[in-house]
Amino acid sequence: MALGKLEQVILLALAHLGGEGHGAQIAAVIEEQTGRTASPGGLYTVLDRLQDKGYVEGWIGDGTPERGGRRRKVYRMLPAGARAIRSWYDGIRQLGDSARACMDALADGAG
Amino acid sequence: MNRAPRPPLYLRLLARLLPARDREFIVGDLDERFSRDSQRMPVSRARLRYVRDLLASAIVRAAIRLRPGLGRTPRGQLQRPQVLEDFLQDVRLGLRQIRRSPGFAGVAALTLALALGATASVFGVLEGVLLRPLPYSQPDRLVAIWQRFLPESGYDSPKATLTGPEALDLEEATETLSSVGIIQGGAAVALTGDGADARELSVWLGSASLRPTLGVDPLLGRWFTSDEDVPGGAAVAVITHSLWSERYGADPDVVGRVVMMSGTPTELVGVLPAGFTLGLWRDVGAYLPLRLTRASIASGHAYGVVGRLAPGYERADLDAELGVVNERWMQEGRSHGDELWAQPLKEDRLGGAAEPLALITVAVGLVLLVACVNMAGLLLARGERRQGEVAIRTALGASRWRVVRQLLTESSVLAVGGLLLAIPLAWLATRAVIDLDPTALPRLGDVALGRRALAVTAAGTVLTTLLFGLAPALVMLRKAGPTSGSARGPTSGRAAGRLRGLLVTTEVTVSMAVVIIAGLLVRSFWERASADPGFRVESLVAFDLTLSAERYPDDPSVPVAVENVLDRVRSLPGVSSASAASAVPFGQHMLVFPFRLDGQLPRGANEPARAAVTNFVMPGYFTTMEVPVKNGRGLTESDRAGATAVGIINETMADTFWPGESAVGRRWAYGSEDTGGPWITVVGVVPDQLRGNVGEDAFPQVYLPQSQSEQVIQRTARSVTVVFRAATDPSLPAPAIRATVREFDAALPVGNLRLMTDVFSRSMARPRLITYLLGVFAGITLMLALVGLYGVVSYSVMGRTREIGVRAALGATRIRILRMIVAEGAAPLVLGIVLGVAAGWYSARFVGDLLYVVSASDPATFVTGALAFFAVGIGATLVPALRATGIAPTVALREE
Repeated sequence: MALGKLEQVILLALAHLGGEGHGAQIAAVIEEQTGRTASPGGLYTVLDRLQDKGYVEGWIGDGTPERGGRRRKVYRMLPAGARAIRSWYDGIRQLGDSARACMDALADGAG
Repeated sequence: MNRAPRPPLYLRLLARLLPARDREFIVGDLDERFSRDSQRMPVSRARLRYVRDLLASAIVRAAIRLRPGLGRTPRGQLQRPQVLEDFLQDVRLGLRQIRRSPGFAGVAALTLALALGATASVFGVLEGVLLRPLPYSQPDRLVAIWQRFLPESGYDSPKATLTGPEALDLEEATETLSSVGIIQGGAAVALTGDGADARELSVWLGSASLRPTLGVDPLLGRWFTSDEDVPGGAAVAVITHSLWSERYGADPDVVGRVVMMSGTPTELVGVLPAGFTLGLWRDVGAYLPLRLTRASIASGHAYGVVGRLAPGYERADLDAELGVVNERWMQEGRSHGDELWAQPLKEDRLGGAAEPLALITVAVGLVLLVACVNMAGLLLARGERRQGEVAIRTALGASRWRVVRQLLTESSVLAVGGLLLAIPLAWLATRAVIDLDPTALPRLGDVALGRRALAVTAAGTVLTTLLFGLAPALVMLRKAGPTSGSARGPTSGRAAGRLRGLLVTTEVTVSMAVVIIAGLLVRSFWERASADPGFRVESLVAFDLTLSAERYPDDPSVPVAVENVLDRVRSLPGVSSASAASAVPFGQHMLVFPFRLDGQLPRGANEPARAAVTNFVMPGYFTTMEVPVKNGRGLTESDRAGATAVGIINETMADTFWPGESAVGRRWAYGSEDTGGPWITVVGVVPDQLRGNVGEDAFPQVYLPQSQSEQVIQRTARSVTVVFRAATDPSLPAPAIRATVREFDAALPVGNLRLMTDVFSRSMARPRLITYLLGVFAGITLMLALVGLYGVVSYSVMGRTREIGVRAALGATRIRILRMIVAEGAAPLVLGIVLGVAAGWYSARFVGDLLYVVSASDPATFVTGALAFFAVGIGATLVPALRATGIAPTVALREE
């Protein structure tokens, strides 16, 4: 199954968090690393989809003071999810490695 | 206590837009990000991000639920409940109605927005000024202690400040007060030596005991210690939060720095928390130790006192104990006819604002009421036009409840539109009120639209929706029975007609009453602004000088220094005369000394002494102020130290103590018979001058030559106000003045440089604010009432088109038709005016205290108001009536 763009980013963020994190944490990682903001509504929509695909599993966690005591929705990456993101990442990295020389030549030559 | 920052309530209310299933997690995530965001970006941006992503989430989640194909289908998801379906359908219908008649919707939403905006703004002011607690710990345990002089003293003031010894002994003398703080306001220092430009700083003096009394710890550093609060103690100052952030860039290392205050090296020992203030006015820069001692016997009544109730005691206990202290001090001969009394601090500081704010709140409530009524009228008229549609819906099987709900939803759509418009309006209105004059009410400068004001507005919206939506809905439902199936045009149904008449009468009544009250206030303000202050205000400039004991140690050097400054000021171009006094009108200083009269038997210990406001003046004071000496002579150069002690008194003093006889040549003296000062001879009488506000009673006042102050009260006033008349240029030559004083002594601050015309105008800030607001409210209600009248008549004209046509065809003249139509509008108009005048008459007595010169039953205002209302009311009915006379018989017949 192919991964959507947001799905890739979310799975990467989840891996960055050690495989487990709640909505706000995932959004924060995405914003810090990519500069892109993800609204919780959008985020949960994609996470629901990933859960359907069997890539992550979600449950309800405790609240914390900074969220006004509201409970969190926590997600953990499942082995299938890890495999999916790893295979996508490996593909991208191979592609990048082989394209590197050409990118460098074109970019530096133009500069 | 370090609480995580929370987004404002109204943002969190938006969260209701989210589906309940995810709401908790999404809002939690947003709150979590908000608390992180507010650490690293301006809070406005954090809020923006919050709103943006909340709305985005709401849209995404709602879209997923509507079209599950967009995302994943949640297992076992429920269908949207029917109620929600209906609601959404009603909203869509409502929006469609608005699109169909944007003019109607615009007017309706705008009138509602005006009323809601005014309400929000008024509640914002009410909350910021009156409801917010004072910025002290357990503020309801704090009391202000005042002295009340008995009427026989001549100085009939309920709120006189205390003498130094009284203020100092109060803590010892009472068990019910755990701590007593002493305050003296209105001094100034020159602040230099801290690397920034020299500036004058308004300072207050306070006792070391203020900290335990108020229970407020400085944000940084500390308050003064009692070792510093004695003569000769280390020079220290505690600065306010605003000075700290403006001048020192909120540098925490400012504590411990030594700066120059009026030439004295002074250590800054503390920084006060933001919002801390003693006087509730914001312009104070620093607090310095008061250094009051019992030795300063001749200090007069000059000290403000705040006390904290000891644990376990209540107000009544304090009142009882103060009675005992009064008795004891009287017997000990310490006080003469003045007694201590206590008032809750909040009431003392804010009590004066309660009455005007109550008036404004009631007035804005009436504006909201009229707006509701007006809206009901508009919806009713429109609803009748849609009678056919409603009939069809009921015929097709819609339940009554469903129809009512649809109509209510339509009103709600309008109400929400009004609310959205109202929020920026409220914000603008609040700014405008503050900008008018932030000193009009205490703490007005700090007012911001808070969540409570917004909550009140939201509640107002719900209420108005119900009020103006329900009545027309019910009337229509009654008419739209399944039998009246034909989709006919407008008819003037009887129930609806009666309801419309009632609505308009209500509008006119309320509006008439508000117009009358506003009229009284406008007239009163007029009188105030043209009142005679007793001196010539125009082209008079004043500034304060405080000559510190550090730089001018011996008392005789004080008048010499002041005279030196005056000479320099007089030599400035355009200055025709200059003088100085310890207290000028509208000033903050007011010294009150008890005295005894010559030729009258000495009073017994239990009898009240006499007291008067005592003012020490330099030569030429009356010339500069342009106050005529009515009897006797003015003060001259020969009234110098060592010569016979003389004084000038005002008319109130002459009338109080020597009624019906000439006061010139009479004598009085300060202090007791054996240790007191010499007799002072009255040499002249001057008219009363305004003390503070127009309309306040004048107090007895005496003017003594500054050069003789040593010999009459063993004291020299070190705070004086210089006044001068700028003959040519009325604008403020501030740089020239500052340069001139700096030339004489660079460490002498020029405090509070002001034009007397500005001060005079500012003294009327509160009546001006009330008058403006009432005037605006009266204008809004009048406009709404006229819209209502116009609506009723034009609606009736539409309904009677055929009748009018027939009448015209049968030979009725235009004037007769005009009269017939106008009469229709005149009935509710006249009835409303009569009722409104009665309501105005009844309610005017409650504003009597706010009126100056004008009586609460001022016939001119009532008659003019009623006639003017009648005239514009008839004008509003004339427009549709004239249209009616133009109806041609053929048009009327074609209608059917």
